[in-house]
Amino acid sequence: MHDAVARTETLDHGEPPPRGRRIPEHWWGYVLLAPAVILVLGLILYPVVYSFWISLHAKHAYLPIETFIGLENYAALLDDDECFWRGLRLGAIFAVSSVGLQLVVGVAAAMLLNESFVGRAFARGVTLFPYMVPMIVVVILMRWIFNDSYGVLKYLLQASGLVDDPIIWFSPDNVMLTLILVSTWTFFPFVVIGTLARLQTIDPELYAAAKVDGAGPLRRFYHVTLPQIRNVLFVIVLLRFMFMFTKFDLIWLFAGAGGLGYYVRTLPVYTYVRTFGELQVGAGAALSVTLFLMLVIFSIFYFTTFRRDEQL
Amino acid sequence: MIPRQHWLRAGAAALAMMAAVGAAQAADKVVTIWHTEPNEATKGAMAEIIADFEKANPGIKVNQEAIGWGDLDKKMQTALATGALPDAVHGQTYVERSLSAKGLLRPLDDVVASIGEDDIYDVVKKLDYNPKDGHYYGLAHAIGTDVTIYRKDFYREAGLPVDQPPETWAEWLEQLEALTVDTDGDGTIDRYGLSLAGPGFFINEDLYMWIGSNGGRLFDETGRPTFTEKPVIEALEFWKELADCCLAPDWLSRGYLDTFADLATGKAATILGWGRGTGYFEKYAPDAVAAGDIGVFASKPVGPSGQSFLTQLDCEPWMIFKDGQHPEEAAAFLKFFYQKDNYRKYIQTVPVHFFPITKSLQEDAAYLATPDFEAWKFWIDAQHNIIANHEPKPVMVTEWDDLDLPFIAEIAGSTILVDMVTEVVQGGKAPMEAAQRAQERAEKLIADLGYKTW
Repeated sequence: MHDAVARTETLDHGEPPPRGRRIPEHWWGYVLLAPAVILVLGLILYPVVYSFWISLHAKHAYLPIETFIGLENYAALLDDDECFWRGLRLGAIFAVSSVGLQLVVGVAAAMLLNESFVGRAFARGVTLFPYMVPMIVVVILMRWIFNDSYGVLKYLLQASGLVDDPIIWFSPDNVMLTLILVSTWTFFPFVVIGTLARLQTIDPELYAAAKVDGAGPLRRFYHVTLPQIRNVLFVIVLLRFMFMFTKFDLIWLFAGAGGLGYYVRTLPVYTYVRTFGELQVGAGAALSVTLFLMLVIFSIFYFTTFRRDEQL
Repeated sequence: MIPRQHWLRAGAAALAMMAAVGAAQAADKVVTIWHTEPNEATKGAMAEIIADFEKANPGIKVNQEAIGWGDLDKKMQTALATGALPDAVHGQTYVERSLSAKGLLRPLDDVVASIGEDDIYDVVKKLDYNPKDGHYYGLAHAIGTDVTIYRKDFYREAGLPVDQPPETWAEWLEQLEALTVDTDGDGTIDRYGLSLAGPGFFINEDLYMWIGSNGGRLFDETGRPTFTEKPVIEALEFWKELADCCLAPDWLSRGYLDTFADLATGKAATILGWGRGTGYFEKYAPDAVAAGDIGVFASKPVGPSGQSFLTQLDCEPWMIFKDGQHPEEAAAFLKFFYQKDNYRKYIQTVPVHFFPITKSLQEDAAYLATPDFEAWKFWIDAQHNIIANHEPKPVMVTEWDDLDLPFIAEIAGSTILVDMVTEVVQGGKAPMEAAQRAQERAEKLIADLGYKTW
C-alpha cells in the first residue's frame, strides 16, 4: 500500500514514468477475453447478422442481382407461402415424434445399461454406435434394410408372419414414419449418454428406502428415477428438439426435395430449395432467419414454462 | 569422411535444382476443367488426352475434376458466387444461355471452326449457337437421347407385337395395362407395365417430354408459364391414368438406377432411360441380353393434342468462363479434345450413350468397330433415327426459343412442376387445381427474379 502511494506521488511530481509502464490490472481481463469475444462475434454473430441483411434483399445465388426490398421476403412467407406453413407443420411432426421416441428409447436403454450384467461395457459401447456412424452411411444402410424388394426388414416381417405383403416404407404414406424411426435409431444414444451419466450419480439409498416403503419398479421409476433425471431430460429435450427441427441431411439424403420429398419437406429442406434450387438467396435467408427466431421463441417459452420447476 | 566443401556444393546444387523446378512449375499455366463423367473409363481416357495435350503444349497443365452429374450445378453456383471459377466446365444447356446472357462465357467460335462447322450435327448447332449475337458459347461434349427401353420377352408373354412401338398415349396405356400382371398367380401384381424414376429432376424430364409430345409447351412466347393450358392438363391426366393402371406403386421412391434394376429383374416391363444403362443389363440380366430380349423403341407415343413426339436430348455443353484463370489455354485444350482420335477415345468410353457430335466420327471405321456395337447396334440406330428426324430437345425445353428464357434453371431447380405432378398423381388433386397453384408459384418466382415480361 505504501509503495503504491509512493509511486503515485513520484509520478505526480512530474518524474518520467518507469520503463515498461504497466497496463492497469483490469485491462488484462479485456485483453484475455478479446480472442473469445472476437471468435464469438466472428463465428456466431456475424453470420446471423449477415443472414438477416441478405434476407432484406432480392438476391440471386450467383448472378450479380441484388436489390434491397426491406421485409418483403418475410411478408411473402407469412402471407401466402403455402410451402412455408406446410414445411412448418411437417417439421413439427417430425421433430416432436422423433424426440419423443428418442426419449422413450434412450431413457429405457440408459436404465438397462445402468444395471449390472455380464457384457455391460460392451453393450454400452454398442449402444453408442448409431450416433457415431456418418449420416450418409446411415442412409445407405437404412435404404437397404427398408427396401421393399430385397430389404432384411421385409424378410423378417414376412418370415415372422407379421405381414403378408411387403410394406413400402418409402411410399408417400410411410416415408415420414420411416424417417422418424431412422432418426430415433440414429440419435437415441445422445439421450442414453446424458441420462446414464445422471443415473450413475443417484444415491442407491433412495431406491433402498423406496423399496422399504413398498414401492414397485414403476413407482420407483416415477418417484425416484424420474425426479432425479428431470434436469438432464430438460436440457436433452431442448437440444434434441432444436437439432431435429433443423435436421436437413437425413431428410435430404433420403427423400430429396421433390417427389417423395414432397411428403417430408420440412423448413430446412424448403430453405435449401429456395436458396440453391430457385437460386433465391434473399428468400432463403429470410427462411433461415425465421427458423432461427422460431427456435429462440421456443427456447424462451420452454424455459419460462419449465424453469421454475427445474431450478435451472 | 566427406569434406565440408562437398556438402556445401551438393546442397547448393540441390537448392539450384529445386529453384529451377519451382520456377518451371510456376511458369506452367494450370487449366482446371470440370466434367460430369466420374466413371473410371472416361476419367482414364481424359487423362490420356490431357497427357498428350500437355506433351504437345509445354507450359500448360490441365487438371480434370470429375464431378457427379447431380452435384455439378451446386458446385458451379458456389464457384460463381465466390469467383473461384474453373476454366472449362460441363453444364446444362439452359445454364449456358443464362451465363452467356450475363457475359460470363468466352465464345467458342474458334473451337467450332477447328472442328469444321459443317461437320457438327444441326441439332447441336441449334443448341449452342446464339442467334442473337452470332456466337457459340458452348459445345456439347456428346449427345444422346432418352428412349423407351422394354423387355421383348414380356411383350411376347402378353401377346403384344414386339417391334411395334405404340403411336399414341391410348395405345401405350393399353400395352402397359397388358404388361401389368400377376406372374405367380397369388393375386398380387408383381410385374408393372412401367417403372419411372421418382426424384424431382426425372419428374421434370418426363413431364416436359409428355407436354411436348402433346403439342404443348411450358412457357409461351412471352415467357409466361402455360401450366393451365390443355396440353399440360392432359399430360397430368395421362400420368394419373398411368399411375392407376400400370405404374409401380413405389415409383416415387425409385431412383433412376432402380428403374434399370426393375427392368433387369422383371419387376417392370418398360422404363425410360439412356444408353449408359447397357452395362447394367449386361451385369444383372445377362440372359435377357444374350437372348436379345432388351429392346428400345425408336419413337415415343403422342398425346391426344399432339402431332409428333418430343424426347430428351442429352447434350451438356463445354463452356469456358471468360474470367477463368486461363480461358485461351482452355480453348486450346478443347480444340485438342475434339480432334478425331482424341474425341473417339473419349466417346468409346460410354459408347452407347455418347453419340458423337461430329458426322465424320459417325462414319469413322475405328468408331464403327467399337466392340459394344455388336450387341447394342439397335440402340445406336434408334438414337440416330431420333436425332436425325425428330428434333429431340434438352430438358425443360419444349421449343427452341425456350433456350433464351433466363429463368429455366430456377424453375427446374424449384419444386413447382414436381409438386404439381405429385399432387395430382399421388395426392388425387384435380389436375386444373394443381396446375393453377403451380402457375401462380411459377409466375411469382419469375416476377421475383425480375424476368416477368407479360
